[in-house]
Amino acid sequence: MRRNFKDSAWGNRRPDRKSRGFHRKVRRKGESRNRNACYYLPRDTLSALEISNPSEKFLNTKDVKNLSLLLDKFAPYSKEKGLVNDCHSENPKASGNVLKTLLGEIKVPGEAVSLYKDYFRLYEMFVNSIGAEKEILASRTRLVVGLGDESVYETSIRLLRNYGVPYIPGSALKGITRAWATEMMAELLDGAGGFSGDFYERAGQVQKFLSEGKAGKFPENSEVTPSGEIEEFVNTVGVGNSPRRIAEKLVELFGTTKNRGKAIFLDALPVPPGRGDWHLFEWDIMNPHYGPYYQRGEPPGDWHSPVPVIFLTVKAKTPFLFGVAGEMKETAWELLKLAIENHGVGAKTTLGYGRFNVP
Amino acid sequence: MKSLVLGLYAVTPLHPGSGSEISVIDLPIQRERHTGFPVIWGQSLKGVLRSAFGDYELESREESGQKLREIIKAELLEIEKKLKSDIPEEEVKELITRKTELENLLLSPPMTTAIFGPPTNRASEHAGAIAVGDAKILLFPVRSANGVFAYVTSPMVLERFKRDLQLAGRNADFEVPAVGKGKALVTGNSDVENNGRVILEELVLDVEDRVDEKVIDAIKLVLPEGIDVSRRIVIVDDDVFSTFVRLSTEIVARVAIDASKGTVKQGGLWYEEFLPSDTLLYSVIIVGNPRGGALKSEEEVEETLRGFITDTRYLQVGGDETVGKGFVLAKPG
Repeated sequence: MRRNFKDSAWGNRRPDRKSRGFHRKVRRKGESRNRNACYYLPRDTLSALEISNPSEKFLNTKDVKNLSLLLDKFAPYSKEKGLVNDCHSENPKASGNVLKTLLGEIKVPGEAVSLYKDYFRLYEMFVNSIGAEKEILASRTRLVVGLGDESVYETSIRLLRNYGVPYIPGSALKGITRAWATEMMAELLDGAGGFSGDFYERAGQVQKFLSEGKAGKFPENSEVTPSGEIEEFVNTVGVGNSPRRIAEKLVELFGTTKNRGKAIFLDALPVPPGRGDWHLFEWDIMNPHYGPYYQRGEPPGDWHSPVPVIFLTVKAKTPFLFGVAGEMKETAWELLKLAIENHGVGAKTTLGYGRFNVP
Repeated sequence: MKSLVLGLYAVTPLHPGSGSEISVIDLPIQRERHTGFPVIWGQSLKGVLRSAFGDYELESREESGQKLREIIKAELLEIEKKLKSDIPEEEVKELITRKTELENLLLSPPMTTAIFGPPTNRASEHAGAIAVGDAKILLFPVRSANGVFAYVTSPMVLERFKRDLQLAGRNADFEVPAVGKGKALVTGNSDVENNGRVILEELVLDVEDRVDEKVIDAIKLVLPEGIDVSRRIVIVDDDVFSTFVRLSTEIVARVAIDASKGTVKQGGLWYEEFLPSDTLLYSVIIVGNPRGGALKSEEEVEETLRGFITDTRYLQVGGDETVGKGFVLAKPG
């Protein structure tokens, strides 16, 4: 890494970079002039967007009002460091880092916000009309759903296709509610006959039996006295702490490959702000130090350079509208709330991402 | 002959699945064989309507303040109780016959049977009173550099729409516009036009002419209230439309996590195709005279159906219901 700083392009900028810190969103004026971007787009598209010299102007949400379209189809390519003068010889790259340097803060433009408001109103009406249990809950930590989705960047974030607004798919919410319930069941089965002594193996067994609908494989009685999170779980399911009874209810709620579940987990949409641009994104960084160890199985060593990966997240304190419908909505709703509070949703939940405040 | 032109506006993405396929997309959506346009087959739509109408009938029909569903369930409970007690054999037979009758009633209440036909096990008794046509595409949302997204349609789509409206006996006095290759039509107050051009996905089209007001009026017949399409409608040529509906649907990667490892399960990654939200489809439902059951005339059937759609408003079509997919806002036109 040290060697890189002697590189002329970096050498010039090092003091500046140091003073900025990672979370400073605003690029210094004129700094972008040192960069050059390439766009792999038809010539008439570029001219329609009035891009003749990409080093003077980068496509941003002022030019392309749909953020999802901007990030998918109008990706700027650049060298990670320094200039790109020839788009063919320098192997320019599209990455979170390039995006952050060239575009600065990513926001949802006002025009998209006002259109999204209409959609949100329609969606709210729909949620009310099907009689869902619903509430607006704000995130406690940063949130990123779809980090691993296909994208030209190394990382991604799930956006509504038509509006370019982040959301949490119902499938993710159902998935984490079920995952959290599975973990709680595994806790409850600690020391139970026929189940593994290892927590994770036991969770795997629970998952298998639940998805096959085999509630009969669970014992009538539990050896564990529920406390804390487990107690909350047991109370929410509301059939006592018999693992078999709980399993029966969970199977009914989540369904199996043969039977449909009796709860509908709706997509959670963020509540639109008043007016103007919507500043709900925040850049984030992961900095794996031992790339060759993770990727090629080489021994980890301090001679490996850290490779920062920049990715987009949704800020903490962003309010989302959650909803659950269906015959078993009451139980499902309580379970969902516990899951987004304790387990989190999206990527990096083990690092505390994707947690919500539940009053 | 009476008819109903049913508009379906996608509030959440739709997955009217056609089964699995060996391709990049594991679970594709239903498409017309000859055009490749997305479609919801008539039989799928009829099934949706039937099941929703059955629920509606059981919940909305009341006798002395009690819902039909509750009345039937109460009687079933009583029979169960009687069957457990000591009663003569003849009465047992009677009770069992009545029980089957009631169970059938729960599956297919009288009005449902009249409109949609009897359930499969008694399908030969008589036909239903309606013919449900395929739900065809009318407006397909495409991301746009200006105006966020556009409602895209094409001359061929409008031509079919016009023919279907005429078949249903509706007013369809609009001219189907002609669109040149690489050209587009927008309205005078369009949000998606910029300097005489529209940019849809990465494609640039020159604005050639204006969309006739009458086209928008015709679309309004199947468009739920409160949704304005006039500022973002774009009519493109058939080839461009075909490209959009084939290549810009929503493809979502779904994963299943193995709880013992915390990583993706073996075989637990699949790609699923969705018709995006804000898609508008329409279906023509032809209503004939009922041949049996609780309704007498085609007027009565039509009125009942209209009332049902106006009251219910939201239908769920296709797969992934338990994760909130497939909800459409229905408009009886």
